[in-house]
Amino acid sequence: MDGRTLHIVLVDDDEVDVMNVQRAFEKNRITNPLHVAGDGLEALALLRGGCVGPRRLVLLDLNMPRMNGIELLRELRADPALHATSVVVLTTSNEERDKVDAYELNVAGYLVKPVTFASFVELMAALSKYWTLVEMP
Amino acid sequence: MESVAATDQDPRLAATEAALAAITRRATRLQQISAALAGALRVEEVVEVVAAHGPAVFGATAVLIYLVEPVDGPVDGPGGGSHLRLAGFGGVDPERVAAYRDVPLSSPMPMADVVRTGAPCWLEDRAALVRAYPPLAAVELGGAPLQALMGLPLRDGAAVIGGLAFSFYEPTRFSAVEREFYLMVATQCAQAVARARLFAAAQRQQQLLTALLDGSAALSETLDSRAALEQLARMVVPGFADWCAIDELAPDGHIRRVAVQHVDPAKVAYAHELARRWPPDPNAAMGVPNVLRTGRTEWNATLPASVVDDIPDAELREIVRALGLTSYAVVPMVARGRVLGALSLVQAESGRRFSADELRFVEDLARRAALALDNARLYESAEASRSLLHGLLMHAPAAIGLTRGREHVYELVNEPYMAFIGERDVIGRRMRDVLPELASQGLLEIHDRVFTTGETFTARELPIRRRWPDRPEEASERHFNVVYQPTRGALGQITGLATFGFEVTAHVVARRELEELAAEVSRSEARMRALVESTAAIVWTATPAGAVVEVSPSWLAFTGQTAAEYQGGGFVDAIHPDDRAATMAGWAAAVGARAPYAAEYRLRRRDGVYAHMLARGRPVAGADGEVAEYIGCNVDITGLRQAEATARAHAETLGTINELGRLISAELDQDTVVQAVTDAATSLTGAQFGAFFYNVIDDHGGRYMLYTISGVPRAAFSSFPMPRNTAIFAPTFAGERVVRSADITADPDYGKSGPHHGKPPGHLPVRSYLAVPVVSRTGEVIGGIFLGHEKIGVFDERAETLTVGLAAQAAVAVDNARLFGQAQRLIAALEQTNRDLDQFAYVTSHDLKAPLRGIASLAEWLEEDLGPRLDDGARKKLDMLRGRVNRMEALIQGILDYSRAGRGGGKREDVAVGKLVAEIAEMLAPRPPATVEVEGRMPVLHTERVALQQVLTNLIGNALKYAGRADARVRVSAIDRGEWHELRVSDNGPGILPEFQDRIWVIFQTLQPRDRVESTGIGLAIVKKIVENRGGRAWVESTPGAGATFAFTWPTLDDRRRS
Repeated sequence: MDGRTLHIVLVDDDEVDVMNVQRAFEKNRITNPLHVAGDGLEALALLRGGCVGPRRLVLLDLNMPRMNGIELLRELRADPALHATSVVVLTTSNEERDKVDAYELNVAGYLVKPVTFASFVELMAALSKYWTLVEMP
Repeated sequence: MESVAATDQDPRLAATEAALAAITRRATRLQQISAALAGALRVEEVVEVVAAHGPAVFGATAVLIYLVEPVDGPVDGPGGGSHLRLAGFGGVDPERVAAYRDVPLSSPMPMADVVRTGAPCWLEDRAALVRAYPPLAAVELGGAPLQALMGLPLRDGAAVIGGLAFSFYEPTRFSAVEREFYLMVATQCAQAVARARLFAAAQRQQQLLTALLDGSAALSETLDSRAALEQLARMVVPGFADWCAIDELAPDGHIRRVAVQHVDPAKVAYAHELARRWPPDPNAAMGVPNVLRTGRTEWNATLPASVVDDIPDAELREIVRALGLTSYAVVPMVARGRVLGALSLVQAESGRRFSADELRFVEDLARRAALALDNARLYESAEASRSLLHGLLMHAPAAIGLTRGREHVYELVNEPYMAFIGERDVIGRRMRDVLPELASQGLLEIHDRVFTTGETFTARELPIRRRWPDRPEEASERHFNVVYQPTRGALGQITGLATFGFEVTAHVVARRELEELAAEVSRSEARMRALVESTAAIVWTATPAGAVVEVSPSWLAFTGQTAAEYQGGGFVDAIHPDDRAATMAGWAAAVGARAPYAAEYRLRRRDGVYAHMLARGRPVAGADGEVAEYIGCNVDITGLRQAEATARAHAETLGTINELGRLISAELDQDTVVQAVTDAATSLTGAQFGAFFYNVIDDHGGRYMLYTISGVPRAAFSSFPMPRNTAIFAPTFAGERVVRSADITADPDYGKSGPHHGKPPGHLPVRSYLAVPVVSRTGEVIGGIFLGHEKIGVFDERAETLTVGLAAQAAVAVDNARLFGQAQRLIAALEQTNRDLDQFAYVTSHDLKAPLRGIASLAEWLEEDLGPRLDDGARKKLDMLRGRVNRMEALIQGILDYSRAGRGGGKREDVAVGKLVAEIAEMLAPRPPATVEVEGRMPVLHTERVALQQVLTNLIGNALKYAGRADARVRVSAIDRGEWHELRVSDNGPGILPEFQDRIWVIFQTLQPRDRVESTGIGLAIVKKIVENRGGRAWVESTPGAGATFAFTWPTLDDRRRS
């Protein structure tokens, strides 16, 4: 596996949302490897398990069972091996409180999920451009 | 307060909320009026507060405040008092109340009945009103008839001192709770009036005392009778009276007006003119002649009309009537049993009336003035004879010289004597220095002998040899007939010598004259002293150098000192040790400056008790203008000082009560109130310790007892159980009566109850005991104030009255605090409910949104994946599905917005409403020809910008959206209502039918089919919630077909803190 390839880790418990991301990837011809975790605990196991390459971007939902997004962010920032992980929040919550909490935990972006798929595709396209820029040497 | 769930799901919660809001409103208003009343120190201020706050607090159109007159006779049952005076009013024009300014207590009016019976009157509708008081049927305001009336008695203890009348022009119901609340406010007003009256009386007392004191000091300083009387007149005007006239009864029986003072100086001359044109008839049955004749005071607190009507002269009668006299007093000026004159005091311009108390002060002042006048007269007559004598001496044909003391210091020499000596400037010098040649001829020795023995020396043809002024070149001998005669003081002691001499060639006749003159001098001086002594408690003399050599018999009589103890500075021993240094320093300073001496010190009386003395001394000039001696007198002012101290103590007590009233009426924390009352009761009654046991109701309705302690550490009581309902405590805890005992251990009920049979062991000793129940307005016993002292008989009637007064104040304050606390707890509960609802709405809407999004996505993928295989029908259904999802999303967003709306707590800033409307219009961008306009002046409000913007955006947006025409015209205007502004948004749309005007404010209600206008029906609900959260109101005015106006009120200065 190419060490330079950016791996996307999607943390979301909603099946439809996961499909949403996958379909949006196809539409935008995004080929980066996509790993899916159903909640914070699964995500931690995935990130610590070594299957995911060293260059990673986490797309994180906030409302999840067992360990929610904010709790996962705290775990990540407290872990010396994972504290620099890039995270973009992708959530339905438009609450001020959630945004403040997330930004305090040093997220790279906070995106509110649009209702329609078309909008979602646009959002993913923008996100892809963002990480392409990040990837450039 | 509004919430999602309460609106259409639980009417019971809505009702509770309304009741809570009412309680809160009442508590707030009570708080406002209490604070305002606490700041009112005068009766007029109290009345102003009621007039200003009354209508708002009671929700009435107008209020009239009546007080019973005369004040000295409050009604305490049928037949008491005489009439009601309108002290103030609010919410009504002055012309309209003109007919009700004075209401006889006997009249068939609601207020007269309320005050007479002491029972409030509640007339809730027009029928009841007219039935009870038919004349009220005619009362109307701008065409609207009077609908309801509420009359509340103002009670000060058992007495009714007045009443409040509230009129309503809308039918009004007074619930039991409201009645209770209104009566409580009335009680507070009555207490404020009573307190203001007490305070005014105390201030007046203080003022009178000060005036009396100043007056006495000023009077004792002057020896000029005219000046004394003018000073007296100046002292009483304007402090005591508007006019003052002093008439003197001359020794020949004539009445002379000697001093006049008037508040308006221009009228003084006029008053003199009146007295000159209509001289008083000495035989008149009233007024000054009567008082001078009988020596008895004439006083009319309220001048009867008959006095003026009885004046025989028509012109004078008219003049007197025009003066508008309200009250007068003529007081005799009596000294040593003789009537010297009369002091007439008149009240006119100020409308004041003389009270019996003031009269006593005036009489006292008149007595002092009379004494001063008599002294001054005696002094003047003595001075006249003295100057006569002086003239005689100075122009006598013989040489006459007066010397003083052993050293023969010249006090007075006449022209011939000066010619004999050959110099003029000899006064104050010793004979030895002026005439040194006398010593060698044995003449000085003769002087000494006369001084020592008191034997007059007479010599005929006495040879004296010296250089004579008219022949200074050589010494020669001339012969004189001389008389050296001792002069004596009041007690017969020799004070100096009188020397008479003439050449032998003079006639024997002349010599005899001189001998008579010498005798006269001696007699005159003795008379002077006699009269001075009779005018003061103590009279003393001192040398010009300040030495007290001459014994003062009056001092000895007062202090019990012997002559030997007194002399040589020993008199100081009788002065209080603490006052000695200051007294002697003042004396030395006065003597040094040859100035009058004034001091106040404590002097030990014969019986060992110290008396307060006012000492005054003045230098007495000799013929040469130099100080010859000091004469002084002391007046005993112990009584005055004590009266002053009593008044001060009284004023302090009042001050404390007032301060306390102010504190506790502004205080809503029950513990603080109770502690303040306990401290005040303990310190004001002189108790060693005090306790306040009171019942508390906790949040769950449980009752338990707490207490505060004053005067001793709490530890002194903490180990004992709560007092039980024993025979001693029962009257207090049952709220039955006050228990005051000089010695509680002697009470037959004491020690009867187990297990302690008296005090528990280790309890502080209690003999004097005072226990006062604290009873709430509702009759519930809140607790009791207990005061104790280990000595017997500490608590007098005053202490009891005071504590009862404090208990009443405490009861009101505790009631207030409880009401407030209750409201606070309920508000907190309600706020918690609202927060829970908001949280619920947020969580719910979030959970609803997620599946919705899923549905939207899935529908889209279906369409995408099936693509061309879909027929038109299926495609249309999928479109509709998406449409419903969008609307669902909007509804959920609406719930979220509503739950967040008007939470407040945002930043307050000055918001220019005109500018804000322009910004909103720009944002909404109405498509021309639709317009948004501002009409008239727009205010600047200090408020939360976002909230106001949200309200206006909703209303303006709605107006544009529902106008239903391209040329929609939206107008925004504002009306300044003081603390509030009314903002109005009007449109030219179709208007709203009356039956829908209430529905539009309810969440998710819209009057248009969903498909025609994109609407969630949430906008107006949000507007209502935001506005009502700020205490405002939102409503719609509309006539179908003529547009609609949405109006709301908004605080001008929004500084209310909200959670």
